[in-house]
Amino acid sequence: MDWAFFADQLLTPTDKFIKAFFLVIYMSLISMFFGIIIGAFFAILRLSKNFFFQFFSFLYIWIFRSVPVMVWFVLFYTGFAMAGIFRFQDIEIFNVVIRGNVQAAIICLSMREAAYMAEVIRGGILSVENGQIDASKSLGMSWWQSMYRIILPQSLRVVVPPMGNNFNIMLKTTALASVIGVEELFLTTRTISAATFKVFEMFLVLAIAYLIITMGWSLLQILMEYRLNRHEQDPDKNFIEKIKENFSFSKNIHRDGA
Amino acid sequence: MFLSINNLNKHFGTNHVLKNVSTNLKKGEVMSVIGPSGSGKSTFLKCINYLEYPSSGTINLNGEFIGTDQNGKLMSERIIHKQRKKFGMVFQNFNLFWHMNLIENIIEAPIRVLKIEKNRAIEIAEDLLEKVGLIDKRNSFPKKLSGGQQQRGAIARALAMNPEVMLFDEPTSALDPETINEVLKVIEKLAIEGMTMLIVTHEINFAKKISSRIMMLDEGVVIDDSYTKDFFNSNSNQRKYSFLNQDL
Repeated sequence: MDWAFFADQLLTPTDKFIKAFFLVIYMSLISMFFGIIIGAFFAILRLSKNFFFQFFSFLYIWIFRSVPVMVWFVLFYTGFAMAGIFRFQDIEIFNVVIRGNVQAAIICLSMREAAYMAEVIRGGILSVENGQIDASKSLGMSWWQSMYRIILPQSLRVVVPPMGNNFNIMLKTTALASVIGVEELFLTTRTISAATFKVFEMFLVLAIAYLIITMGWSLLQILMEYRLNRHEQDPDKNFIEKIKENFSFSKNIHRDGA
Repeated sequence: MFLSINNLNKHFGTNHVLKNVSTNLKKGEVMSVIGPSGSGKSTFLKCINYLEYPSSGTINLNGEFIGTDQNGKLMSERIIHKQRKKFGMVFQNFNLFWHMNLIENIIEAPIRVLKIEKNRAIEIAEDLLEKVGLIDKRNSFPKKLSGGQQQRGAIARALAMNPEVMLFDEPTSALDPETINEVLKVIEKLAIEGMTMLIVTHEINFAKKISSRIMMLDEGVVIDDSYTKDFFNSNSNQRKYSFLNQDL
């Protein structure tokens, strides 16, 4: 064990490693963003009265949850190019070059995430009391208004915890994109360790890098849930007290119906 | 007639819940709907603003057919959504939006549906909160309010849409006896102001006090529909007699 090398890599990582670190974050964020939007769309389709819509949504969820995302990566990027269907080209947005394989990875991750999020959001929508929907209708709100202003916001309380789970998984699933040559953390670490033969040291650094990313996310989720519990908080308490209260499980277990 | 309901029928599967219910209300009239549990009172109320679609029958408010045309042909969902705002509805379980505070609850629909400017909507909402005695609870969330306060807030929310008719679905059934009165007082105030109202209630004494008409439903059939004093003076109907005497 070469502690000097380990400390060096941890405290002053190479540019390549830092780039990979941020690539993981932005790939996950973009994929999650599209995953939520497309997922909400399929959740609503699944809950519609139209049988064709329901079936279409069911089919989508089934397909994208069934095939490993690694298979999608290869199919979309390498497979499509080989079959002459579509070749992902590098594109430049705001002076940032997005490589073709990164685009393919984002699309696959988004599509897969949408399938999982569709079920999470469907659960959230089903958790909203009928009385709330009746109330919004009785005030003359249209279907879209009551969905957007009442049902979806109320479903967030149920949606956010599993969504946090999904995002945590997503951050780590990006490692699989190494299979199509995306230079994210895993592949970069492999490259460095192969050149230096310091496998143990390098992968320890990698593990810590993932810990840091997921910790950042966990803190963000605490803030989100804090905001969502606005209706239960005592306005006289300060921020820290409220966060603490929000963090304790006893309060949530003893919660009565909203 | 201001509000006329003609031969309303409602089926839930094979269950015939409302059987040819008809009635007429003049503007400013207050009608209480009473009857045992499962008699179809709440369903009747929900059919009026199409929260439940009636199986057949027509509803006419001030010359305009609601939900269907005069031949009973169903209108599009979009039109039904728009027509609902003519009726203010107050629910047994209040159903204030729990993710919004009181003032947000009240201004939501006026801003989104009536397209009233936000500042103006807040003014209207504050006046209404004053009226129901909740102005000091302006920024409270529903969960922090008592049942009676929530129900008064819900009444203010319905009134903010400036409805032509108010529908009350057992407004005091979920309240403890001490807070029932504060809600009844608000409803009484509305009656005095000349609001046309339909009230489904178990509070027979209250019904007697504020309504000009009383309708009794039993198993989806109108047992009696008459002016309040006639309603309590005639004991012609056996079913009504037994209901009133066990309840009073």
